[in-house]
Amino acid sequence: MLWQQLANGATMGMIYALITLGLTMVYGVLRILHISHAGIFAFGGYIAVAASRVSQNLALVVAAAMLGCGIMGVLMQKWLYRPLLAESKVVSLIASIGMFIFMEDLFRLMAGPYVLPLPVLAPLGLDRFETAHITGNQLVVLIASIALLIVAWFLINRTRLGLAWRATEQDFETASAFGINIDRAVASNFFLGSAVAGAAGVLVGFYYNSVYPTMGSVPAYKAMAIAVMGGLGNVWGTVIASLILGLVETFLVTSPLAFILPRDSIAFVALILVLLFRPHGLFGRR
Amino acid sequence: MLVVKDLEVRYGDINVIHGISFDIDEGESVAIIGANGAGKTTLLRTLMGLHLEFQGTILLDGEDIGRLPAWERSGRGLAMVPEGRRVFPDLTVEENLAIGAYSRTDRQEIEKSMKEVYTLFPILDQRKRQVSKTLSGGEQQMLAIGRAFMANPRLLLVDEVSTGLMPIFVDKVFDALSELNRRGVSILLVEQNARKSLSTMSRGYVLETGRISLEGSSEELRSNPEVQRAYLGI
Repeated sequence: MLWQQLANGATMGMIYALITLGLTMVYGVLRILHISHAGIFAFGGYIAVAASRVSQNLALVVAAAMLGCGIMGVLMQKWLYRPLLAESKVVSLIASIGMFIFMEDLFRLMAGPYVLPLPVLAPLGLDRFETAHITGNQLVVLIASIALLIVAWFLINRTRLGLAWRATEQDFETASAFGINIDRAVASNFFLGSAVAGAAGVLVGFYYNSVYPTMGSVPAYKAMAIAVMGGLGNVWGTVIASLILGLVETFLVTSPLAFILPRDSIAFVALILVLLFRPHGLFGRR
Repeated sequence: MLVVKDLEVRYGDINVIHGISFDIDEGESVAIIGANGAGKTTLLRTLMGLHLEFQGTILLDGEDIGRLPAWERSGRGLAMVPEGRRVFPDLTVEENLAIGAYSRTDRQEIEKSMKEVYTLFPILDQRKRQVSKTLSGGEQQMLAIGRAFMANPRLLLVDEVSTGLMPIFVDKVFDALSELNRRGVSILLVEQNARKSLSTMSRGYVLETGRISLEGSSEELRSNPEVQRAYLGI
């Protein structure tokens, strides 16, 4: 029972980490609260549904969703955020919320208000694997998300492109004076963040075997809460905060406390506490 | 090399620079001295491409670069030591230097430049894995110069390097600039510290509230009674 709970919690936690990673990357570069990131997450689920008609291979479906969502993210940055960059940040926040609502309704119009199944198969027959502690699907989600997080970490911290992102984040003017094409740095940053969100959308769809128009609603705001808890812009803080939240949620629903504290409220209670006592995030620096 | 003609720069509704013209030859070192608020920083930002609200022409090797974004000017041999140093605070010393070389692709040459920076400023070598916000002001200024050196520039724009530094660091920083100039880098320096800049650079301009009021070789300017009274405190 304990191990099952740990596996459930860790799986949720890694998915939260994937969703929040893109959010925190975008915040780092543009200082924008990118709510419609969760729309891109749901878009990933829908791309997967469409792609699953062609191939049931999970890896291929994830790749298709990452590509589609990455492009979507770049377009959103070009046409939604860039024209608003000179305005107050509240303007882009409102635009972002509007875009998110628009996307949810677009999914409803195009695919119907139903919960669609996502018939994809895990590689290596892992979906038939099962022990008393962990299911094959959980294993797939865990491995895929850890792999994606490591790739993202490597890109950010160990490549020339990542160096350009970090420099742009800290001082875009000086970065541009040393030859960094700011437009391209921001666009590629959006691409990666959105692609990772798309992968998260597929993995959630696969894990619960369901894709629906409002699947991004709760993650939209929960990811915001996690990003603040982890310290905005801090990748490892994000991962740890996500894991803690995934585990606490899982253990709490089976405890007597669940009666007064429903699962989805925990992130927001934690958000309030963090803002009250540690406004720079659990691991944030001043 | 650099020719500036009738440059007028605005910040919103305010005219900061009212039509100035000057030039810098290959290998020259030129100082623009002036008081606080004379428009020196604005001038350098405009030359680098960080400020685009201006009229007039900026020619680099006879080509108009006025409409190019900063990152393309960097590729053409311009580099900057910005006001207030502006090192990337959360990047290490080594990463800051790597950003300096961002426009370059010649790996071995970049390695070589990095070694040269460490020879010029051994303290940076000792601190290379340190995050640069933990450096002292003087060390950050050396890093800012080292970073610009890494760009292998043909023309280095230097903004107020002496501000906020202990005198011993000021000497060190100016020595480094002369050394760069000896190696063939042209330098355009804007400074409040007229004494130091006129003794290090070969030629100078005096900028007063957005206009050039005097120009000449450093010796001429140093012996000019106007300059002596207003800027050298003699």
